[in-house]
Amino acid sequence: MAILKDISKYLKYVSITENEMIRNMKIQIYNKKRRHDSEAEEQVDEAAQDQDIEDALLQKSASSISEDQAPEKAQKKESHQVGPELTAEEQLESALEHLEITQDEYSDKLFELTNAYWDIQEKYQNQYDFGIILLDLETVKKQISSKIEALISKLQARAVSTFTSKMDELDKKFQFIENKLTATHYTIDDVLE
Amino acid sequence: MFKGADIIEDLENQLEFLKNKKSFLDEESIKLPSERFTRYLNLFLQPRSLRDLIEDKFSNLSE
Repeated sequence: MAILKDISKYLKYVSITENEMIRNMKIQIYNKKRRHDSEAEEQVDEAAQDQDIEDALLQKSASSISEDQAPEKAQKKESHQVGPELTAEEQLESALEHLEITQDEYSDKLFELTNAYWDIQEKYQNQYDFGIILLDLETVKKQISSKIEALISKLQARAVSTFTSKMDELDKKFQFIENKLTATHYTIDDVLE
Repeated sequence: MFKGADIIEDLENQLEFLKNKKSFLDEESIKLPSERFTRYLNLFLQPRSLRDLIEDKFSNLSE
């Protein structure tokens, strides 16, 4: 039953919670950031190798610096790979806690969810009649669709909440300055403060 | 330049940053609750109002 196999890829949306979805998004951002950082490191190394002979002296000092740093890098890599698993997990948790979901990540996820929602609506019929078998997908379609809708609205609510908290923060700063300005001052120093 | 000018300028920059975030919400068709939206709009009046207040303070001092 190719249809069942095909529709089953959307079942992940039924079982996932909002927190799990957010965590997965953060992990993706974290991994992207790590990939980006390691690529940048590689580019720096390549650039150092491509330096002109005219800059030989400079290159020499650069390579001596990179040699100095090499054991540190190796140690860093080692600590990532060899370090106890719990520590790595703790590191990841701490990084995820402070990680903010980027606009791109929000957009991508909303795009993915919306696409999945319309796939479910348009790609599959409610019933498939195979002669002796009648495959009824109506309930499954409804369940998956409503769960996807819920995930979309939670994600949107989260985006709004992030925005409004930043807005409140800024509003507070404005209010603070306004209060300072409208407060009664008794000396010039108070005013200039 | 008066002392508060750079602070207001910094807040204006943060306001621009917020505007960018709002554009993102608009692009994704995410609406703010009306009360929040009004507060958002009011924020843009704040720098002018603070500058006026500061000017008032300084003009009072010079009198």
